[in-house]
Amino acid sequence: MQLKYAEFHNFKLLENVRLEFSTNRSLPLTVIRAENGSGKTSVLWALLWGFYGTRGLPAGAHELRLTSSAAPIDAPVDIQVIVEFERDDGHGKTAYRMIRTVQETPRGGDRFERGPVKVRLLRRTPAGLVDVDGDPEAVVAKFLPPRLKSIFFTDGDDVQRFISGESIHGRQNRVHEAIRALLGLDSLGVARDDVENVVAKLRRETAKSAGSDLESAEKHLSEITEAIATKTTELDALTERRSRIASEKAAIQKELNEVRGIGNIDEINAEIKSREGELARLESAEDAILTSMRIAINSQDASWALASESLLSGYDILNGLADRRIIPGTSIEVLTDRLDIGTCICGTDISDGQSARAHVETLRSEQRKVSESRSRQTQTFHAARMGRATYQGQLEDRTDFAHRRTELLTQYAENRDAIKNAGLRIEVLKEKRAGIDEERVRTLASRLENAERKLTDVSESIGRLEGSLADLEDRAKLATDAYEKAERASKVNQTLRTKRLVAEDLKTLISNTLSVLESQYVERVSTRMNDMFMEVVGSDPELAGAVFRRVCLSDGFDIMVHTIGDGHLDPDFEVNGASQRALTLSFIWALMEVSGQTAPRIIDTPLGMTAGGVKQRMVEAITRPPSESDPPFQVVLLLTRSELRDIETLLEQRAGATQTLSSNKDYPVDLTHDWKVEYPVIRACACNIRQFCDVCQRRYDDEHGLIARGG
Amino acid sequence: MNPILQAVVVAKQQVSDIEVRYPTYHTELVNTLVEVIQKQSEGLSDQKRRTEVSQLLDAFGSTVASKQGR
Repeated sequence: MQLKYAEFHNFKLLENVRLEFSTNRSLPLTVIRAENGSGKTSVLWALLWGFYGTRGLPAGAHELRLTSSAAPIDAPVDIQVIVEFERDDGHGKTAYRMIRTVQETPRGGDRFERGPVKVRLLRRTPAGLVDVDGDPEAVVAKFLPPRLKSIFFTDGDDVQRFISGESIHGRQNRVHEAIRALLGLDSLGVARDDVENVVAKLRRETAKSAGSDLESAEKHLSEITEAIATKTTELDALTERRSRIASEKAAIQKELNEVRGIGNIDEINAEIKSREGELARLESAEDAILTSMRIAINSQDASWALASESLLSGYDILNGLADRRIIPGTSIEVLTDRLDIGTCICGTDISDGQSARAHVETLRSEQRKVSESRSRQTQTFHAARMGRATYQGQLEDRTDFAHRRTELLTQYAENRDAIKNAGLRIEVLKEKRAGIDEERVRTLASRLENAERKLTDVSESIGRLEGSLADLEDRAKLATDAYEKAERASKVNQTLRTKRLVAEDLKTLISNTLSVLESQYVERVSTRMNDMFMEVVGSDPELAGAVFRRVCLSDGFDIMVHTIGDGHLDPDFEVNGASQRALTLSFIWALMEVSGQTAPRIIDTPLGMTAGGVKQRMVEAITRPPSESDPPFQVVLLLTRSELRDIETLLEQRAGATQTLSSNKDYPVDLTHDWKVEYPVIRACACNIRQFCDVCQRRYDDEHGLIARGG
Repeated sequence: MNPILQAVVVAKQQVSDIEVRYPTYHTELVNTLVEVIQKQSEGLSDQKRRTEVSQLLDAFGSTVASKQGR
């Protein structure tokens, strides 16, 4: 099905608007340019109302007035939406026209009265338009199932939410539903149950006509079949329960992550403890540095550093006195020491009996004779000589007091900074801890644990049930063989038998068809979705820095996002907005392509969160004309001037129709021309994405490089 | 939009696994499948639909029996 045109009369601000849609196979795109508040959402809603009535509108909008809020009170307004579309019903294309009309009378405020809705569906024939037989809404529902409307009519935000579903219980529900509906799995499933019911009925009738042996075999087989049906229902319920618990678990985990967004309470407590330990160590280190400082200040080194000039000058005087032998060059202690050792400072042997020893003993005797003051001078000279040597050594090694002082002061300053930082970090962590609802974290953690336990329990029950079902199926095979053996041995009604065999053929055909669709066709959707998604997000798994490895559909039809390194991302919580949009669109495009369906895809503001290469590639992928083997499609994008920016050339290459919507309520702030209409209204003009006219010109159009249409 | 488009395409491939009871049997079986599925879009209750599916298969079974000479 493809839209040809739509007319909107008095729907919201769409007073008299007609939009043309491209049905050109090689130009599948229709662009409707409109700024915020210029009717994009109204067009989307008007189409939904036109096809489905108020039940087609988004939840919460069913009771909203359809007229302009500026419509005069108590004056009835005729609202009408006309949509002409064509569809290939197997014998070529047929055009249809859907007309929905209602009268609404504003009563002031939000109050209004709405009259009966009139719906007509007309088919174009060589003789003109004729009414289609049957309920128009039921017929349209076959062409465009209302439960799939979120695939055909959507907006940027909804595209993003499509994967996650509307509630935790509906997680990826729309994905599952779209697959089941568009591949016909639901229809086949119901058909299989209907035919199974006929098979059982025919088996009972056959057995009844043939006698007790066959009846007994049939009864046994029926009991097993019923047991299988019961267990299958239980299994379905448990599988559903498991899915629900998994969704709940994901929601709890999400909330927990959000609450812990400021930080994990346990991790914060651990870090506070660690930082407090570090602070204690730093404070001990500070004490040690201060002690070292005190020792250094009280040391001789400090004296040499602070009074080195005076000390060196004093040493020089003492050294002069020693040179002139006014004070002995050596001290009594040194001479005594040398005599004890038996070797002079110059290396001469002065042990007992040596002549040189007598000289040194004489020297010591002379030394003992000098005055007390000389003795002090001598001691001072030697102390000064040692001190000077030490001082000079320290200067060379850079271990003198001045260097040591600088080193200790640096250590002290660094340690002070570290103490300050550790203290601040502890304060920040304590503030964080105070900001966390600890009780909520504990509750959620407990609920998460509970959900995990339940999930394990249910999974174990499912495992047991599957084992039990496998056993029953084995028994059913044996019972079927026994029944057929009994049937062959009996005189059964051959017509009844043939009917049963035919019904069983049909059941087998349905089961095999289902099996192929659920495996091979879902795999095709999965592969196509992956190709398109990777193209749009520009991800090559082989490249360094790539995030996405592939996206695919699981056995349960969930969209899975695999990352480099064999990890997964939750498409609801862990994939960015632009990638979520790319994923949804890739899924919808792949599903429509593989299912061979032709239906419009109308998206309001789809590029709001995309930019640069992703935006370009997304539009490139969703507007690429179908290959010869693929069904035609139609995509209608409702775009603002900002969304159009940088992709104008691509849009021009793909668009078979372009129009612009404007609202006079934007005059004079944004709209350039006064339409001389006293009430708010939306109008369409034929301007394409490079043009402006007296209806649509806006004050910043020159920034977009637009030119006057016809100018 | 035809939700069973691919289902019918696949059924036409899968029918070759079913016994050929007479030359046109496979085509008739697929057509019957389409009729059975179409019963779901007639707005019938489950019970009414099952009754109609039963009647439909009864009629088809009789035709098959007749063509097989039973």
